[in-house]
Amino acid sequence: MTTSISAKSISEKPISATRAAWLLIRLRLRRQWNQVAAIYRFRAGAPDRKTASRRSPTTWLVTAFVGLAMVGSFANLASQGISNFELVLGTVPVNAANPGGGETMRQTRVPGHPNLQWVPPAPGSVLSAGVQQGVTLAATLLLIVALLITMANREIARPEWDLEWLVTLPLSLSTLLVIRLIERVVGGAAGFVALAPFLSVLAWTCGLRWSAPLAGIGLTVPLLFLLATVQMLYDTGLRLSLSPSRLRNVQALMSVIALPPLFVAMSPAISVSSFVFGWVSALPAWVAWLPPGLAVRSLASSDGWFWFMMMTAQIAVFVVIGLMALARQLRNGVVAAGAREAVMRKPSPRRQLEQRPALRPGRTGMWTPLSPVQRRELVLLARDRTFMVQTLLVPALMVGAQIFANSSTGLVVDAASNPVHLAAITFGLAATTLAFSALQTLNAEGQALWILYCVPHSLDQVLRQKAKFWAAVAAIYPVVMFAGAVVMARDITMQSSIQLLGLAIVVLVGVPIFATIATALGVFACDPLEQDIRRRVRVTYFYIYMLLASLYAYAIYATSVWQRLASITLTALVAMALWQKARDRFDYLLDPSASPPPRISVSDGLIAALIFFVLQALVVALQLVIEGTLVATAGVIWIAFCGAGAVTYGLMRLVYWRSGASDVPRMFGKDVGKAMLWGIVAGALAALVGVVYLQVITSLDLFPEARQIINLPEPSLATMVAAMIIVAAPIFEEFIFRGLIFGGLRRSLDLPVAAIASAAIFAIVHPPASVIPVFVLGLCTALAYERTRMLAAPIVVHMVYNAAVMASQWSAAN
Amino acid sequence: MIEFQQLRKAYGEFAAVNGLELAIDKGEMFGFLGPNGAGKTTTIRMMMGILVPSSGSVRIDGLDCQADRVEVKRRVGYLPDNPIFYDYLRGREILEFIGEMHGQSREDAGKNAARLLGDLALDDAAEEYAVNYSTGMKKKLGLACALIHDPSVLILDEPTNGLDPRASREVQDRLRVAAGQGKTIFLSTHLLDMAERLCSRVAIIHKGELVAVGPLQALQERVVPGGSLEEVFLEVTRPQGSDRE
Repeated sequence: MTTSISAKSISEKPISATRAAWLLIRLRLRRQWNQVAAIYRFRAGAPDRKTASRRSPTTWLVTAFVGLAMVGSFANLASQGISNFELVLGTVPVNAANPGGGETMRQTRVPGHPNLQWVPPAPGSVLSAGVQQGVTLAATLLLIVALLITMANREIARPEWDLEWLVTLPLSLSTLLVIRLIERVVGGAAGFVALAPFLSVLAWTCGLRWSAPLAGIGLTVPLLFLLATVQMLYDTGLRLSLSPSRLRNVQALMSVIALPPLFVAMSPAISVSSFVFGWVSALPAWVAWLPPGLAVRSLASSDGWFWFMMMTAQIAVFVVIGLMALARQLRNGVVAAGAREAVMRKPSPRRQLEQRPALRPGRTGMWTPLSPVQRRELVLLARDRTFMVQTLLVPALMVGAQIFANSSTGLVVDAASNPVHLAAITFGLAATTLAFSALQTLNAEGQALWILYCVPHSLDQVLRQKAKFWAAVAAIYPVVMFAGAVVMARDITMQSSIQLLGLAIVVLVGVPIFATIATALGVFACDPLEQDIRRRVRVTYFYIYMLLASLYAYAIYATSVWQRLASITLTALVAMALWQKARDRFDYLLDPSASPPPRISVSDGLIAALIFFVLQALVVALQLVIEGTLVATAGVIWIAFCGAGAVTYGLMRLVYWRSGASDVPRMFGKDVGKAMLWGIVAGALAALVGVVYLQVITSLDLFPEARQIINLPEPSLATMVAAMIIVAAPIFEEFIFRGLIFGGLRRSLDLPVAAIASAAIFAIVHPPASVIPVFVLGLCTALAYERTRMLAAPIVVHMVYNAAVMASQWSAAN
Repeated sequence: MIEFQQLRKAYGEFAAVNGLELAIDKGEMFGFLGPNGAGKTTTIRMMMGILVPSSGSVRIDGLDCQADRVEVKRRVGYLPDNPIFYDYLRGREILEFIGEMHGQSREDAGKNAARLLGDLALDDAAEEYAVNYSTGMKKKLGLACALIHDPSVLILDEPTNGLDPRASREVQDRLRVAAGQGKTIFLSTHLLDMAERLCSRVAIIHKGELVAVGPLQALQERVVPGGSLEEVFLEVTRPQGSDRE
């Protein structure tokens, strides 16, 4: 009686291996699905406390789009590569190949290459011998790349290992290993993305049509088993012999090692002059007998099934041997003593001797210019190889790959002779460095962010220090490269040295600006509460950052000082706006539910300005398209300006009203008389400057191109244009430039700086001829707004100024 | 010294802390008790400015924990429930870093760190990366971080959780010493015997609301005459409706 009870209480019967496999694979897939689903589940009443998710549904769309684009581009790359192989290895010059004009050969000319013809396929194959060998090489390279990328998987860098948990389940170790193998095959995205598109395209080339993707996937799956076996052996071996911090360093190393083969594997697709084509003839014959070679043969040969069986058999043997080796690796248990422990380890005597005294002050003098935060960052950079590789090496490799890919366009040669390209490359390097360091700064704090909430420094100060630190690190590339350019330059003229200096300044000013942008975007991009390290950075913000960085190329390639100054000012303002938005967020970083109260900010101003200008341009463009004319009429400009202004004004008001934002600019306040007085006095001052300036440039003829603008409108339109210039423009522009941009800047800056910055941005959006008086106008209006806190005051200033300048221009034109 | 004024924190519809009203005097060792999920950690996180109150406020030494966060941190040492430390940094380095962030010179921070590591029996692990520490060691390192700037207020979330009996006793002794120096100590716990031994006054919260507050003896006399703190605790945190019908 007792035995039956105890037996019953244990279990009905042991779980079958297939059911266990199904359960575990389902668990893994559900986990992956949950990860994807959590991204777009927006307040879907999840039972957890994170009710108000900060994720937007667009992230999901972006992810899906990126995934699709990736598969598409890999397939494109594969087809490009295969057609290059055919072109280079599968053709011969028309005459050389066919000296006797042999009729037996199929005279197929290569389209687009009149001097080339196809080499006939090898016996028993649909591909010519050379092409088959080349494709075999490509497939082998892709398998190696897939292998290295799988080995560089971040999974290994995580302190917890799921096998430790899985062995506690009532399953035998061998069953467990087989299940894991299948699991890895199912989840092996990297291998799939590397191999399946290539093999599918190859299948298509070999004559298969709609079954080509099926054949490609069918051949990929056995190869994935091969990959999974190697990955498990590698994973287990390392886990059992290395400590967690070493493991992460190995992972970092692998991620670097994987890159060169990736470039090599991609290069046949990029250029027909790739060196890889030269390797094909040197390829030993036995490579064709390895799984990737057999996969190619099974597609190209007439007896494809035979080769497929052969490949499968080979892989099966390998997998069995691999599983046996794994079981042997794990014979002493799944946890190696001391590898993952938290046992106190006595510092070795050598360490005590060498390190202890070094801790004591004395060595400290060297680092005094750095704050504790910056020093800590430096220590982390030195110790964390993943981080070091990402920040310092990956940018060089990425930019190097770009240059490599574009080597046919002669960019490399140009960079040596043309300093503009050099500047663009160095800035690219610095910006990429920042993308991997400053953009990740919150991410690097991760769950230890609470520490910064325990020290008497605001997060603003800490992040500023970090931004400065990373700006200095990122500036290393430009400084070294410009110094190199100066040393290497042979014939340096006055003009070229001025050009070089100008470019160096643009780049070196850009670095701290982008350090600020990256750090600020990093605040939005990173979720320190996120448990899953892979989801802690939102990739959208990475793209936004890269987009902004690429826009800075405008400053580098600009030809005039004015354009450069304008784009630097704009970028700096964007940086400022982003920082302000980020700063509002600092108090709320660790709070899963609360978000900062809405306030007006510089970014609102920038957005409003953008809407205003884009709408104007759209209306004008619409008229030009509809009427087929080239020049917009004054009437349309009037409609465009007033319409865009009204829509922008209404839209922003609506947004503020809906969000209940504080300190929204008011039109009138208590003391309207004071506002009028300020408006008239400051307006008279600005108008005086404007009219005098106008006299000076007219008499000196400084801006001949500006004269064309001063045309009297048709008398019938004069009132309308005057109304636009005197009434509408002040209202809309003051709301945007004083109300939002100056008001936003004023939140975080002193009056003089905020006034100058807002006047500068106001000046840049005007034509060069009027920059100086408009800048003065910007200062006067800012002062009027600051003193009265009513928009009416700067509007009056603006009205007086516009009226005076317009009257002066029209009377001069008369 | 510490004043809670109608402190409230809601996660969506769910109010984790609701209208908390408390005042803790200078030099008091105050026990903050409650069942799991009662809102203890949420309250403490609001005191540290990690969470933003939905309404109400906490003031320490007259300073608002949200608005004057930087000044508050000069006076407060904090030990979280589950301290997580930076990867790739040794225990000693983390401690020195925090000392320096509190404005100590490198030399002083080094001395203070060495002293605290010795006091908390962490010397042997000082050169080990802190992520590899066991739960108890992380807790002790966290306590060292809370003590390094000799704050006048200590805010401790489950200070003896994960510690072995000896380490737990050592920590309690240290807290007594700190209290003897006139520090104000606010500690959350669900270990009632510890609260009974250490605290002069306790508050019990249940489902985000304060259900009992006062000196231990007064509470015992009022709620369960002659009973232990455990009986008081069970009485005031009784699930709703279980004593009816």
